[in-house]
Amino acid sequence: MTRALSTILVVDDDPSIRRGLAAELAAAGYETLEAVDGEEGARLAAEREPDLVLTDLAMPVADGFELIARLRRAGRTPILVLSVRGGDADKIRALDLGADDFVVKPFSVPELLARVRAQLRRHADESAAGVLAFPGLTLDRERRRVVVEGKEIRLTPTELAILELLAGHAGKPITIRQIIGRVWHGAPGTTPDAVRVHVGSLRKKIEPDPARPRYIVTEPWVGYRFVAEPI
Amino acid sequence: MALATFLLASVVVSRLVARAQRRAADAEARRTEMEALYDLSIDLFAATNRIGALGEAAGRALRTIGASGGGLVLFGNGPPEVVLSVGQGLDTADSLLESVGRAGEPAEVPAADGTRDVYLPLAVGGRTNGVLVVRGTRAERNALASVGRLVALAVERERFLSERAHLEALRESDALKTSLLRAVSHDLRTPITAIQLGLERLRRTSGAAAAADVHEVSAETERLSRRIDNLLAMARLDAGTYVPRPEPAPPADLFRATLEALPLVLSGRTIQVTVAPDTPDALADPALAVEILANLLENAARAGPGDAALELAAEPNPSDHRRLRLDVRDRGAGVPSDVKRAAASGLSPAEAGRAGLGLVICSSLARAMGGTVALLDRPGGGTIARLDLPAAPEGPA
Repeated sequence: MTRALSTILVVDDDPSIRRGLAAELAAAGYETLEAVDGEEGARLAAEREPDLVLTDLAMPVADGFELIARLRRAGRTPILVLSVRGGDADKIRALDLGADDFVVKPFSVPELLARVRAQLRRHADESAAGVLAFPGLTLDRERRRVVVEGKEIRLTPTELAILELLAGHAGKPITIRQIIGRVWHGAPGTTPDAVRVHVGSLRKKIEPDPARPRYIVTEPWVGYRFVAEPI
Repeated sequence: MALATFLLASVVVSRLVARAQRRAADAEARRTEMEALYDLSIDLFAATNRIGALGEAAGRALRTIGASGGGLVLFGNGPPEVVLSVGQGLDTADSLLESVGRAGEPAEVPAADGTRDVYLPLAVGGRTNGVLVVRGTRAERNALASVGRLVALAVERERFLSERAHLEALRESDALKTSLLRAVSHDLRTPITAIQLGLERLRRTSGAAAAADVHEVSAETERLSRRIDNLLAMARLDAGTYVPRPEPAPPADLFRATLEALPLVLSGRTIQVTVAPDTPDALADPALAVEILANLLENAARAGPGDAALELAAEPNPSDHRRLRLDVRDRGAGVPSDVKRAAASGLSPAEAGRAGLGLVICSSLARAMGGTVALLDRPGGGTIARLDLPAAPEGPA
């Protein structure tokens, strides 16, 4: 993080939620900005350059999708989306537009704060070097080696590419479409099922306990998320 | 002889001329008829693309063939419907209407002044939909038949249009249901989110004395939120605005999502998660599966003694390798007796009262994706709530 105090822009048309979020974020030590819609959000983001934007999707003037698109044209500020349960199509659309993560309403405050921290940290060390290290797992991108619990694991090129993509964005949900785009370079005929099969075999190789996945979890319909925190 | 020949010739010529003139007049009449029919067909098919214009069109048809009156009656499922009746119009008690409609053959009633009343069946594809009554006409049979066919097609077209309008109305009402459910969902969840934020603020500022109360209210809010999710899921399924989308779902992922859905209700509880070797992935709609498991787990948390571990366990279904079981196990008092009694006397769980309602919701959510839910007494005490689901087909290795 470049500043001692990170600034978070909260965009929601509901005043009690907007103020409640701002109060909790302030109590957790962040500086906050508030906007009532995507229009004001985009303006404040341009003027004040917040470290993270937390936005609702459904808003009367310039909704969350429009805000995400505008923010992505301008830069890489992490965007956390507030979505509703059952709104999977909305989630996928937001992620494909460039949002970094989502929390589902109603959410618990500790969960929200954890997501905010993860995004701020991820953004800070995204330019990280060739070796990604997590508890029990390291991935050396240059030498293409994966070590789990001290043992080198052999992965197929596809599995390795998926692991690189997911672990390289630890904490961020990656949509199936993004995986097909980055790993298969959008090769026509690549189906979500093919992605599932490869992720399934990758998980078998790296997860020590299949009942309690430590590294890769499924985000239903959306895709996958690498959940271990980098060391 | 020459005179006779001349006379004969003149008679022949004059007859020929008269015939030629008659033919010319016939041709002219035909031409007029054809033009009238052409105009009528344009009226019927281009101008009447609004529902209810059929009566006007039938009126134009009668004028086209120079009728003094008449009308249009349609046969549907109910009593015959008079769409038009002009001049000496029509009477539904007229037995000719019914017999022409039944036979599908036209009928004619000559009048003293040389005109006639004609009853034309309106048939498309062998089915007679109605009768066009033309009174006081001198028009040719062919022209009348053409008019009858045109009006029959217009009737059919109108039927089609009104059916389409009905379908569109249905689609619109689906869209309305979807947006209504969205609005309800938003309007119910927004205040809950605000309440949770408020509780968090309270927890932060009120100190230790109120902590237990705040926690209790928070846990209840979480329960309320689950109830709303349950009811909305049911409503969406019922309204047909939510179609389950089964996908291969690893049991571990479903369990993890379930635990995340109940952070407060489960705080301080020990949860054991096991996935037996060789357990296949479920083929399930993840949202519905998590909805069900969260519901079952919440009941289990309420049933058991607070210090007993709750168990989430996945295993293959021993009697059907294409299915698997996801169990929620507690050490509470076992299957509630009213649920058992209801099952024993063949009642649905809904009739078992409060304990049964959650089970009804879970069962109907499970059914929507080919699953079942059952409550079983657990050996050694407690309940097993079992969600049985189809397994995902094995992918290529």
